[in-house]
Amino acid sequence: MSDQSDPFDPFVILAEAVPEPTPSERQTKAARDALQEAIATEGQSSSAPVGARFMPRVAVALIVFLFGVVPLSLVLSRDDSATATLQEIAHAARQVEPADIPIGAFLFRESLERNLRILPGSELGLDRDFVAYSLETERSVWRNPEARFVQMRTANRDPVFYDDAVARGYFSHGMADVDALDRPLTQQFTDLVDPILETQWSESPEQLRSQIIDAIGRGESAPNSSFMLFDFAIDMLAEPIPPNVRGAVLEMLGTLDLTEVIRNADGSVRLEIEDHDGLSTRHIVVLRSDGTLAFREIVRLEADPELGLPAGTVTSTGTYSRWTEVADIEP
Amino acid sequence: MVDDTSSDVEIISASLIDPDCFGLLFERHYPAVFSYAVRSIGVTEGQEIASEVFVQAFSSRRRFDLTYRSARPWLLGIASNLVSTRYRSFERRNRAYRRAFGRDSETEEFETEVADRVDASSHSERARAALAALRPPERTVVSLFVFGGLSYQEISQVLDLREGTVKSRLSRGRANLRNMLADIGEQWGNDE
Repeated sequence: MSDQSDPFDPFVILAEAVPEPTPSERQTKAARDALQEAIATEGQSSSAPVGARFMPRVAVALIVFLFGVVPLSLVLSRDDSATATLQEIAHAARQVEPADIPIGAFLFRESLERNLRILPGSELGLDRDFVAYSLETERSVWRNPEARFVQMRTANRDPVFYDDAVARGYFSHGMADVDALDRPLTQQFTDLVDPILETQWSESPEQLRSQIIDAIGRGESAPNSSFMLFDFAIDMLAEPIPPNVRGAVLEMLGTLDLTEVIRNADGSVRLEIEDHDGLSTRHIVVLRSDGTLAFREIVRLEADPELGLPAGTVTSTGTYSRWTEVADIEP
Repeated sequence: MVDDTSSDVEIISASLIDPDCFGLLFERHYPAVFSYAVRSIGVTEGQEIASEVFVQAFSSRRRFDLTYRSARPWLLGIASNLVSTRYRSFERRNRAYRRAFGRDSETEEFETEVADRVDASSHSERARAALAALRPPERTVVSLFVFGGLSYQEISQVLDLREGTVKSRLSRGRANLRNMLADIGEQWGNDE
């Protein structure tokens, strides 16, 4: 592993400084159990004789046919409408001219967001595991077309607290300084690697779906995979991705278990999906008629006694401008 | 009939008919996969990944290339994908915080956990932080080489890269790590 001419070999340091761990019996057993469960699941689905496996499907098909035709057709028409809406907007997205940003120019976007912050209670001198407050952030972002350079200007303001003790602790423990409250900050980042912009995404909705599942790293059968796909897809729509990829993302969204798809009078589309993995949340997104992200909000549907949040708390909300070309960054 | 003297290829082939046979592969390679995953990303994430590797490998065993002599590179390749995904997922979730505030409570917590997992020595923490700071393509190749003990050829197979690409990524990773660990390197030389 070592070069003879090296003053030191960092690989040797890495190997020795991070020594080999041995799994405990408990860790091994947990992993073995997970594998055995997977083996048993496959065994159950493949061990029954062909006839036995086939018959229940026939029975289910008959039951669905006999008793489910009317409700099924209603569901299908609703799904068809959602799919059609997303296909329309996907078509519009594909008609957008690909951005051709000259060398030296930048893409620019502004947003106004409010996000929940969660901290250990000890940081505010409180005897609680965690505390929460929200903060408004005005954000301006400049990025070069390769997305490797980003300048970001942020201004945090107007903290909202859910109880007085947190408010007192916030100011008495200097968190206003930490959050740079009412003090605009400009930061520059170089050599950024953004997987959304650097991945060669497919323009086919089916293949794109597989790519996203791979990127998320969870199997299709993950209990909330529809929500995870949605979340990742909206992250993609928030970025300056190529028009054909945007179109594919929008069509893929039409295949998910969305709880609502509404076409607004101005041509924008409102999407909703719920996530019930952990504390239930509802995610609301508004896309412009060309499929770019205009608005995003997350609402916690259940109360969170640990953080003192009532049911219906908006934990994240933001409005986003389009990415536009600008000649230069502002200092 | 396969047993613990059978080759990996024989075990995987047999498991297509009798899925229980796949358990032999687990007993043979779990410690190495666990070690790779934990050293790459930390105990909490690493132990989950080590477990997930075998579930994924089992479900995709029909795609195993039977010309491979050992299943270990294949398993470590799955592990490296999962590690990369966790990093990406984490990066994505925290992008806004990182860019906006110059602090990132979740990332700090994650990296601290990673660094703390083996021991609390400063060398260990620094080495882990340096590895985490590499660009993802370099980090993956360096981890497979150093923690997985795979050869250039094996890495090129599991990542579907040309061998020259593997070598150049290792070379860049080595140079970047050397810069980041220069002070440790001097102490290391003195200690030895």
